[in-house]
Amino acid sequence: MTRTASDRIAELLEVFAQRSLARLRAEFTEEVVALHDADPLWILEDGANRVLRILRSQPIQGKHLIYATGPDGPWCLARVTHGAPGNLVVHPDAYGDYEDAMRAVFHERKSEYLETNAVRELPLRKGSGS
Amino acid sequence: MSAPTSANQKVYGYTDRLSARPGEQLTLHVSCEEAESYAATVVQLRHGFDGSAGPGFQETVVPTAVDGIYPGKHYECRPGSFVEVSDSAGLLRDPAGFEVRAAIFPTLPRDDRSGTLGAYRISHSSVAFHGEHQTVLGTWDAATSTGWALTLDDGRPMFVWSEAGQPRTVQLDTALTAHHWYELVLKVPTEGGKVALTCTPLKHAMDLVAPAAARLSPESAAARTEGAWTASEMPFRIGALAALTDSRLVATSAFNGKIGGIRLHRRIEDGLETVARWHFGRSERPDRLLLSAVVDESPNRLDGHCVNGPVRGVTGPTFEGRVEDFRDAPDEYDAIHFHDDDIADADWPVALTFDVPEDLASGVYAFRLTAEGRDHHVPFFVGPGVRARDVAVLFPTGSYLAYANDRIAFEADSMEMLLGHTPIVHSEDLDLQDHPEFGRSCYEIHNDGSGVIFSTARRPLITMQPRYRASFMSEGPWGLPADLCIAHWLEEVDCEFDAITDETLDLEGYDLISRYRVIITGSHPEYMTRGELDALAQFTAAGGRLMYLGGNGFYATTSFDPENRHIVEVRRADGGTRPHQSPFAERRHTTSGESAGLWRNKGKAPERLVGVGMSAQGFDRCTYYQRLEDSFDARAAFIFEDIGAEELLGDFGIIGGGAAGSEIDFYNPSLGTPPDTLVVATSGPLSDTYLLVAEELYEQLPGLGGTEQPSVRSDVVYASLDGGGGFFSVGSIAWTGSLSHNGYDNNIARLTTNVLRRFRDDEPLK
Repeated sequence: MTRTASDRIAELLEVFAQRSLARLRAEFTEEVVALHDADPLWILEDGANRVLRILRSQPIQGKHLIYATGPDGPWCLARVTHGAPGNLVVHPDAYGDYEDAMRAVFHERKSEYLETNAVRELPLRKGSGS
Repeated sequence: MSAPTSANQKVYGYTDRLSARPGEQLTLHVSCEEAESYAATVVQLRHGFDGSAGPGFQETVVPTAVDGIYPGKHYECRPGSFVEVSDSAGLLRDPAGFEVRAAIFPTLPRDDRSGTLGAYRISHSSVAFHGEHQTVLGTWDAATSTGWALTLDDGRPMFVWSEAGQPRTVQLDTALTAHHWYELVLKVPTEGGKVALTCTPLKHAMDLVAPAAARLSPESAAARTEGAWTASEMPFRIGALAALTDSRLVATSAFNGKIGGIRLHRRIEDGLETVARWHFGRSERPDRLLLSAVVDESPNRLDGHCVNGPVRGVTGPTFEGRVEDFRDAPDEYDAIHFHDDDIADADWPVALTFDVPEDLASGVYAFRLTAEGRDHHVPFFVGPGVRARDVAVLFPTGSYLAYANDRIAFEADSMEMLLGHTPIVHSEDLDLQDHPEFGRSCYEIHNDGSGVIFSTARRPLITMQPRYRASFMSEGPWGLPADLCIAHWLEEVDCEFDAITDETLDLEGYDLISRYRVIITGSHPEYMTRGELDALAQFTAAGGRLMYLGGNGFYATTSFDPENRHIVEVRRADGGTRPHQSPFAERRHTTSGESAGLWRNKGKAPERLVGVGMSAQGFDRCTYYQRLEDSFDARAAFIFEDIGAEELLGDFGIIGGGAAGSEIDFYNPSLGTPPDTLVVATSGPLSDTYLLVAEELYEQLPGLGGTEQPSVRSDVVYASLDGGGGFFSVGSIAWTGSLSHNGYDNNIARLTTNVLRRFRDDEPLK
């Protein structure tokens, strides 16, 4: 099968992604969790922000959004799913504060990246027009 | 357990333009989604944000002749740009004896876009792409299998024609490679004989080795025809075909990429005669702008017009790489860039015509459309009437359009990193996802990866819904809803105002605003034309007072199409903060001749007009202001009347919890801030998601965030100018979100009202 530029870019990004994942494992400490739980919108520590940037920069497909169900909430977690109605699949668990929803997103990611038995690889960035 | 979500809005609409004066007419265009009827009424929009932290959503019904129940009908909104040719003589109806030459530069010959694109690293399109069939030119009618067309079919050049009512094709074997120029040559016999199609990669002055590097090679194919052509009833189009939908001819099989250099000849006894020679770089206007009209240089004058806003002023196959203005070398700009997701006018029939009453007060209004219990608002502005007011609010309709129908949260990998939090979306965003045909914002990229540079008012504008909250704000208002905070504050302080817009100020200039004592901007007057900047500068120089109650203002070059003023153009240069970038030599606005880019990079920095210019953006949390030494200057005493010396200003608000934040500006005298400008307050601490803007950087340096970089701040400034005028600038989008806090009993409302009161006083500012 002929390799394309997309394949090569994906390979290069995967090399970087593995380095990021290794760093994420090392720096995703309980202190970072505590900082985010304390105030997800006001984190000033460099190390914690590096962890957050890695999590926040992942490919959009499958990524979390927060869905506001009304003018004062509640707020639900949702995943970008191109092809679903609204390109979004909303989960029923609701939060009374959008910052709590942000905390929940963070903990879901923590679970996905660090707490599964086999730590999943960061997804390949081989996006395409859908 | 998970559940799919769909918001199921039942009615949508738009007006022919965003602003009208008393005595003028607006047309309303409506489409329903499975609703048999809808109710329409005119409302005055008084406050948008509907959270319990503010005054709540407020609108007032205005009894008019519009009130009533109307039958619901669905109309399709079909994107896809093209040129339609006027061919009353039927010269293009059948291809007998044609020799067609066309240069094409496909940008998405097949569904193979990959990678991340633009500043936000867009990796997915939430607009479905169906590019199996793309049209170069022709009349083919797929419904009746009549006519003819030159196309790309699954990326491979193809000629399709109708022979005795049956479709026939000749097609090349090799799919074209994206972003290369090719010449297609089609030769059709006058009667029976051989149809020949050839595709030749073109050498291009900008990259002479490209065809070889991509291993491109010529290819030909041929087929026999009996010459029994069956003409279609469809018009001849370039860039798309026509399809009949609800009695309108919409676009189908739209092309992605550039087409140019088209020559159409017909074989005659002693050679070839020219049938058409469309020159896409040629303008017949005195100003040489490239608007909708397309010129045929042949004696037949088969002129055409652009539909749905394809991009002109783009380089063609003979571009030599030395000029940057399409007007300087028209032959090198003989190309148009078409997109399958372009939309300039949904082209729905008129649902009703609204005669704006002569006695209707200037302000912000909307048609409220209701179907099956859900409202859809179609906002519009009623401009100044005969009654003179001393205050006008300049609603930034250029910004509303540039951001219209933004879908970035669903498409960009880096959106969350930019914001510093997970985006928060709402039912309107899901409506938008379910209606990709409503078109994109100027922050997005087209399906083919090129940046969106046009926006239009003639389509449903979901992000202009008065209750809309943009995904990037932490549940605060943005755009029109944020500016309704200003309207409601003015109502609260009993100050009547006239509503003017970017489009009307651009059109009428200083004459529109000369009679006002005070002009108040919206919260985000980012997209401004040269005419607006000049009018506002003339205003303050002549004694007018400008209250800049926003951030990121007077920022990017913007143009309104002089023939279609519902269309706004925003190309992006290669410097400064920008979501994407136009290619070299394609950065000239075809609707004005302006070069793209930030006004500060073109010698018209906002600092000259309002004392401050953009410093940073961040979307996690906003902050307060603290007073500075200038705030105790006697000249500024009126600003701080009844405000304590040690008070923190605006440590509250519905936009991020503070008055300073979102997109912010700082005092920067090096760019022309008037020398006697007082810096009366500066922002409190900001996080490192607030990063110094790119235009302040000449090389990358560490430490660009709000905790380290001293320029990452918002400054409040005041200046009086010779002539008695002046400006007061807050340099923060979040400011308006603090006005209503505690029932308007707060120091931001007090301070802003102090300024308004003094600015309305005819005594010259000091």
